Amino acid sequence: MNKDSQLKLIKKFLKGIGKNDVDSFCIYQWMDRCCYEGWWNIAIELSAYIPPNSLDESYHKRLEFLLFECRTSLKEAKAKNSNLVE
Amino acid sequence: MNKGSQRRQIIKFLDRKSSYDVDAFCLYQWIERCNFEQWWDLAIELSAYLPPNSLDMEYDKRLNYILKKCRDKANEISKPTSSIERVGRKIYIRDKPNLPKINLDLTGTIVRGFLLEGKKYRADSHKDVYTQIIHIVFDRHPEKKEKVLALRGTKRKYFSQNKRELSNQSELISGTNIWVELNLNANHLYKLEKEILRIFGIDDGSFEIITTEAFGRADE
Repeated sequence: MNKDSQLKLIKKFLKGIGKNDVDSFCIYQWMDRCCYEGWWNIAIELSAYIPPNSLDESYHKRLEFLLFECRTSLKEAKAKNSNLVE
Repeated sequence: MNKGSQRRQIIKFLDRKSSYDVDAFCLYQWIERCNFEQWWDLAIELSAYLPPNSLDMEYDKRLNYILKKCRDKANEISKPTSSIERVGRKIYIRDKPNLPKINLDLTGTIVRGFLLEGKKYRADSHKDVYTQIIHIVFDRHPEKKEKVLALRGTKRKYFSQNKRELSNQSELISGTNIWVELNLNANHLYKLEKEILRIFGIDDGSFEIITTEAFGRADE
């Protein structure tokens, strides 16, 4: 499993294919990968699929941290793009 | 991808049965899964495949933290705890090994592998243990293969040369024309494994399945 194969799996999942075989921890791992690779919007999209309290408290905290990072980075990227357009 | 499928991937990778194109981040993810599911030994084994400085500093720090936790937990498990018993004036100190490995009721247990004649084998399910045992005995005594055909229950066969005599969950044993029934529960498989070992003249006392409880955690 590498960057590309994981992205394929994530996209499949977001299209609704093979949803039943994916547990909360896997979605967390995918979000972590998205954060690492800079796929901010995919990470945010994935966060909707993690049911509340489905992970340990520490992992929920980390998840919140990852989401915060993704949202901030996405905002920054958008701001940069709009500056370039202006 | 879930707990079971990820565990299978990890074990295949460690056994080099698969040629996965695995990057450093994937190894980090697997180690994290091992930490989450308390597969401490697997986490430690995986760490050997991670090249140094292959991740960001932040992830490297996190990985080191996780690995330290796994090592500590693995050491805790392997440490024998002793029980102290007083009988009159005498004090007996008896070593009792801690988790894992108890072959009482195997229902609902997660298989980590098995021991046979002092050698440790890795396995990820009771069916995997069963098929591995069959392959071991068949490799050692190919001339006695057909002896297993005599093994049967009151109503059904456990081995057959005709697939139709077994359920849909039967499998052909590679290199033979013998099918094995796999639609059996963990305890039943364990009983059969012992019996097969006896038939082939292997000390079944040296056979032990290494398991961890599926429900409930060691530190609870």
